[in-house]
Amino acid sequence: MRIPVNNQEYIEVPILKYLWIPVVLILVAAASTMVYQVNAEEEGVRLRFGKHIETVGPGLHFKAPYPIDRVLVVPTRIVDVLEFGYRSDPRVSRRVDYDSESSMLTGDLNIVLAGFDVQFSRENPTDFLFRVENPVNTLRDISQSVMREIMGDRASIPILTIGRAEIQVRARELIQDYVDRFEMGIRINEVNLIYVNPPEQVRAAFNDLNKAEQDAVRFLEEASREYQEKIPRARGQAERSVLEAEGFRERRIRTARGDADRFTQMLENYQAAPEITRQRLYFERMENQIPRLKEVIIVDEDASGILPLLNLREGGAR
Amino acid sequence: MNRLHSKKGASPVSLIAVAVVITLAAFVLSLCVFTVDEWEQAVVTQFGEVVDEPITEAGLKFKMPWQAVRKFDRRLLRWDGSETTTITRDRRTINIDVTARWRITDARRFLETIGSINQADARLNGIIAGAVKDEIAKFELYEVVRSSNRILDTERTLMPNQITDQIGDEIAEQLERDDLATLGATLPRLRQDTEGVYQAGRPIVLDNILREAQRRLVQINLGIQVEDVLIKQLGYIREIEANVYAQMNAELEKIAAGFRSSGRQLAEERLGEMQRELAIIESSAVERAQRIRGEGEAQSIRIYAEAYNQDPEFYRLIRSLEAYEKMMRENSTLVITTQSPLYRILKSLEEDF
Repeated sequence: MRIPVNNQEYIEVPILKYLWIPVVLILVAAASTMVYQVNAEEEGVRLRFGKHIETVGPGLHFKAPYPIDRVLVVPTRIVDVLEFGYRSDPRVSRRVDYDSESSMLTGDLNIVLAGFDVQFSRENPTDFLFRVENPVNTLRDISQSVMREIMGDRASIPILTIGRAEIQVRARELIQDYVDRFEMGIRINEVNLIYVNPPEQVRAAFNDLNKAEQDAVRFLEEASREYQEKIPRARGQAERSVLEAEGFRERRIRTARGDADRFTQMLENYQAAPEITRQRLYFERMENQIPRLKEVIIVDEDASGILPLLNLREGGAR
Repeated sequence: MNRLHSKKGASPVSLIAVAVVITLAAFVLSLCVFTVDEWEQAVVTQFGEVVDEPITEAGLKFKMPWQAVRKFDRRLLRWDGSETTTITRDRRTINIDVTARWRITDARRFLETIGSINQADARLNGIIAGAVKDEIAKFELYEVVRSSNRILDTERTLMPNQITDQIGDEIAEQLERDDLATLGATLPRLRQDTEGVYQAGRPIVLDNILREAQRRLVQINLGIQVEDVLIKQLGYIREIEANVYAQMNAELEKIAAGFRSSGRQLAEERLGEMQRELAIIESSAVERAQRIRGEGEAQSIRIYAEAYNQDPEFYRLIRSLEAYEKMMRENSTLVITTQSPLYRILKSLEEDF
């Protein structure tokens, strides 16, 4: 090839000698696009002129050179997480809540805040690529809608207290239903309610409700405890007083019998010699008693005067 | 110079000519072929006019070099509306954020009327937002929020943790269960026909919005169709939110007070029961004890009477002697008259000396 330099002068370039260089370069470039690798967690979707011809698993594969064949790789074995109402920041392991996203109307038209995550995998790579534009964004829309639908059909207190497990199961089902209907090629592995809270503005009152429940239980328990303590004790005391009364009765009867027997026996002997026994008993008794006295004062029934007769203690000793 | 030229002769020129021809051929060929991806559909135009039906099958396709190709997405597309404020039939102002799925059903028509996805989004904004406003206005708020009447049937059996566990029915019966579960909200029933099919509720509202949007799209025929409508966010406007919180607070306080007072009530009842029980236990014990004592007394009276009745005179003697003995305690002073038998005893003793 002649390349003109100036008037009538050429530089002769031996172009044919070097023609193989671009040809080889093009061939090498084409060959390099004939091998591709699919990683362990991925699946490869091969398109020939845009038409899907095969889906391959992990490994090294061959294909026709670009632009005939193209390969799109989908990480089918990776489980991804979408977060709603909060964002976790792995760097600071802290949760940031977004009330605007978590605020939901309940079936009784009250408000609760719920944060949840949706764990999904791209189960079917061709559906994932070919059916829906940006399936992950659509999954976000579906998840938000489903969770609101569920909250909207339930009452606020059960949502805040005991309803979580049931809500998670139901949400997974409903989201999967939508995903299947749209043929998104996604599998919902799990839906987790991360938190369900009353709004900040009513949190104090809600906590007080919990306390009130405990208070109510406590009041009743305290009364029950008192009941449990006092009733058996009263029963014991009652039994005791009855037993005591029985003791009294027995003592009374036995004493009476003893007294009666004594009397009867005395009487029998008394009747043998009534007069003398009477006097003897009298004297004996007086004899025993008079020395114990401090003084005996004898009053003349006719005369009105007191004549001290004997002073056993002081007088007698003197 | 001439040497090289003469050696290869005309061959470089012919080679270059071949190269040019090949390049030209490749260029013309590239104008004649195009590919359609799995997620695409294509429309071939000739001088601005659509020729043939849209191509919806993927692969290598051919056309005349002067024809142009427009490719569009064949997949389900996402339309994301912005949050709008609207009013329900019961005059409640709410914020609602709706999103929709749509697709290009007639690429030819789409190209002729709209031409781009962005333009379609703008058209959908007006159509769907309008349908939302119109349909929401036909329903009361609870009909938009709830999907079924399950809240009326099942929620009343659901009670908070403590209560069901510990005292169950006792306190539960004290409180209105509905009040507790729903914070006192009155719950109207969603309309149902005779076969139980709902006439209102979130799915019905969404379906109505969808059908209304579809109807409007059919009318203007843009080659697109909406396939699904979702409510992403639905809430009170800020001004009303404050009222709702105040109401929730009042209701929570009421329920808390209810808990406490019914707890107290039950406690008092339990204590009253205890007092009654105590009174019965104590008084029946007194009753039995006194009866037993009475028996003792009665028997002893009978025994004494029987014994002493044998000789009342002797009994009087013994008793008076015992009485004397008891009366004359140590260091006491005895006053007797000269008539007393004791005096006589003492006097007779004197005479003896």
